[in-house]
Amino acid sequence: MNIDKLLKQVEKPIRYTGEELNMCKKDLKDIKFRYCFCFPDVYEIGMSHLGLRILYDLYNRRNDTYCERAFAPWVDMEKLMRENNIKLFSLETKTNLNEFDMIGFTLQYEMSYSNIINMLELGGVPLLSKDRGENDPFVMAGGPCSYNSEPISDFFDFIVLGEGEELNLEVTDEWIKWKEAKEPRIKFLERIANIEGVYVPSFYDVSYNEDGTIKEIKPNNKNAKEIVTKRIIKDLDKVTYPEKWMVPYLSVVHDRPMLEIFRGCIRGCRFCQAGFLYRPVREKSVEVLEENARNLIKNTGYEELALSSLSTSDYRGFFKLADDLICEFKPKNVNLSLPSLRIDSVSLKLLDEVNNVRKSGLTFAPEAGTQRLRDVINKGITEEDILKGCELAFRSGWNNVKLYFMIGLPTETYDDLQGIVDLANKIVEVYYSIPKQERTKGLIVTVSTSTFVPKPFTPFQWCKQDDVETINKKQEFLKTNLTNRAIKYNWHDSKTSTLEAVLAKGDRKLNKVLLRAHELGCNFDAWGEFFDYDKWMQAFKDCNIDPFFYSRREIPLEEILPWEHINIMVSKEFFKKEFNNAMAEKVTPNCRAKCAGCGAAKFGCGVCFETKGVCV
Amino acid sequence: MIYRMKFEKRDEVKYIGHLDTMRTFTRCIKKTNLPIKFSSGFNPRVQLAFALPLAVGVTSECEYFDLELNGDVECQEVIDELNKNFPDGFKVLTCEKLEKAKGLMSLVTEANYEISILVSTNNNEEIVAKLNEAFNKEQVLVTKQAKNGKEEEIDIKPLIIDLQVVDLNYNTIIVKVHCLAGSKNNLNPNYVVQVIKSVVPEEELDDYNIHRKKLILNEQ
Ligand code: SF4
Ligand code: SF4
Repeated sequence: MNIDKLLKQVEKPIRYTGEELNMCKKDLKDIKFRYCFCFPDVYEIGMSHLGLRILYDLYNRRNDTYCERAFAPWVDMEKLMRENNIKLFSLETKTNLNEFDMIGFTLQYEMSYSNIINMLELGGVPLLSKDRGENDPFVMAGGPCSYNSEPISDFFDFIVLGEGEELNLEVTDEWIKWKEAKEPRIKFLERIANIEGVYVPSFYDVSYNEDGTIKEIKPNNKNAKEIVTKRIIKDLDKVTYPEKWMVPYLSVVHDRPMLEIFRGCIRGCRFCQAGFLYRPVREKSVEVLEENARNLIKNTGYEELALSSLSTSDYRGFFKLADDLICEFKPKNVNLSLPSLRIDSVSLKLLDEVNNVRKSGLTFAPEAGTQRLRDVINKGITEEDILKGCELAFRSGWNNVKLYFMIGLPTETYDDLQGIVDLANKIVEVYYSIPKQERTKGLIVTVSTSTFVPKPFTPFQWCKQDDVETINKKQEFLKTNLTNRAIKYNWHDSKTSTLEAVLAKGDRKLNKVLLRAHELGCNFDAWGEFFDYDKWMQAFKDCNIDPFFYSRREIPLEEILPWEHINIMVSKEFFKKEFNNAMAEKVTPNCRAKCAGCGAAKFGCGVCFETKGVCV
Repeated sequence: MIYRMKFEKRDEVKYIGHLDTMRTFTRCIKKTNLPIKFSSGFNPRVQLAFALPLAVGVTSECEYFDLELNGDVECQEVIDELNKNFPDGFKVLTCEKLEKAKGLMSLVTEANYEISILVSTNNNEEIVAKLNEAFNKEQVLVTKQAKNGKEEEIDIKPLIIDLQVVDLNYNTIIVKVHCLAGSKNNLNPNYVVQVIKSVVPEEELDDYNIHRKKLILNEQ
């Protein structure tokens, strides 16, 4: 059976054909290690993910390794594959997943878990780690959700924690040694359990108290560490960057090469997992970035280049970098895209320069409606900042403002929701206070709310999440009160966030629920049209597990958490302190203003050592 | 100076649509060392004109595009530069300098396609006979999906100049079509496939491939 016949029948065949410009081709006879990077969503989303680009390039720079790619087939393709007994295959050589030496998934969001299980099944790989034999590939995972991979741990042979540039190569070296030594499967896991940053879930026993809380997490293999610590790259200038950027034929979500300017975030917003996971902030130098940029454009012919980080304005060399890049690329008709920029007069001028045509929307993320609640979540942005920013923006021709908020944050009351309404109204007032001839017609203020999801490794990890009914009422309140015609209100489905919280904070007992949900047909849960909340609730019921034990319970600070044995180098003591600061409505300065002593300085690099001397 | 390129589009890239192909070519051309002529205006573009767009899923050995360069470059150099930078599956075959060029699209008048059919029966002869019968009819009717979603029946016979059914044995049959092409009267080869599908029972049709063999340009 050939794939071509199926491709003729699907909506977007180039999701499955590869052959993009800069795709890596290798002669298999030179290859010792075959790896498949699996992204548990469709091609267009996966190809917009920087991590995939970095690892693909990293592996393929090795002569003995070939890294290929696989994505979740869209529903039309999946149906045909199942009907025709075609296994999920890689884009590069059309090899079935179960024929690789190792396959790796990235855990980007909880709602992709069902896709992972489905991809394993489609690829002919036994779903559970314990059922895999000597001829099956090793299945690994990494990415932000892997810091609490417990709910999905039975499906993986091992997890890598932290940045992969060194770690993944060490694992590869070990695999080659293991292969040459012709040892049994378990020996490979024992070998890599000794590498810092590798977590082998089956090497740990978890016991529970009668009330369902965790009693103890204990290694059961002498190679496993009591505590597994994440890995980071200390000097980002010294690692490789994917300058041979693949150019998809299909328009993907972010259809431009990304230039990663730093990792981490100095700000420490208390709900934000990324802000803690990637500590400490480490910047790349302007010189290296300019070299990267030059090569990216040279190798791709792209008409746009995007800076990438959690908060562009916090890059210390930002203005020099932006000026240099504009100087170099403007004559070559390459646009610069500057996302997540703090809006002030200087940045607006810059945006004016780079956005020579479009004045698309400006984005603000106050996250909460009142200063009180913004202090609780440590979001260092004031109403004045926002109104000032809007005024400047309106005066320089923008007429489209997007505001992002979260509802259901710890300590939130209806006063805080009223605060969202008031802030949106004030922005409208600012606009109309500007003389007609000095602003662009047709104001649109878009207010978007997402639902707060308490995440592991944040000061809010102990907090509970609102139930669906409460969230819906709050959304209703905003719908009725955001009445100004210039204001548009968007909200997220509260049921999705409900499940997200359960899967984010869950423990190993959820593995059987995931398996059951898969049996019931859950797939593409991140896609509204396929997410079936009732099926998930059915799966919990069938397994006799109360999902809300995980997400709607105030967890005592001394309780053992499912991720207690994982160390991101931000201490639990710090999170407790931050939790108490939140309840006391006390803000904590950002890493550059004053070190808060989170623990990440132990890595001995980055922002912790910038100018403040040594941190505690 | 305008350079007229003839290129091929092979199997591995046949699902890439016309617009995606154009976008990719633009990027690849920017990667070359050629003295590209950009359009003037707010958003300068590479000056690139294609002949008749190829339907998705069709391979070809006779695609054309015109590229405008500043100054005089050897044709072989243009070919080499482009091929060095094009993704696998696309290859420039020939290049010709033109002082002036009429819109490529308007020059296309006729085309040759070869549609190879893979059948899972050893009854090639019967299928060949059935195909000949279908195409020899007074009218060859197919259904066309109109823009408004409605279906309408059209007769493709007037668009066919010549059609031959060739039995290659080994389960392969080739339908060679010489037809009208271009912006006025154009036969989409997928209609020919539609006819084939109506004749060959589904369980006997393993696969098929459409290949554009020749585009006839009316140069004067
Ligand atoms: S600014 Fe706040 S929300 Fe944004 S990445 Fe940094 S910590 Fe997270
Ligand atoms: S140790 Fe201090 S400076 Fe370093 S990341 Fe933690 S809070 Fe920031």
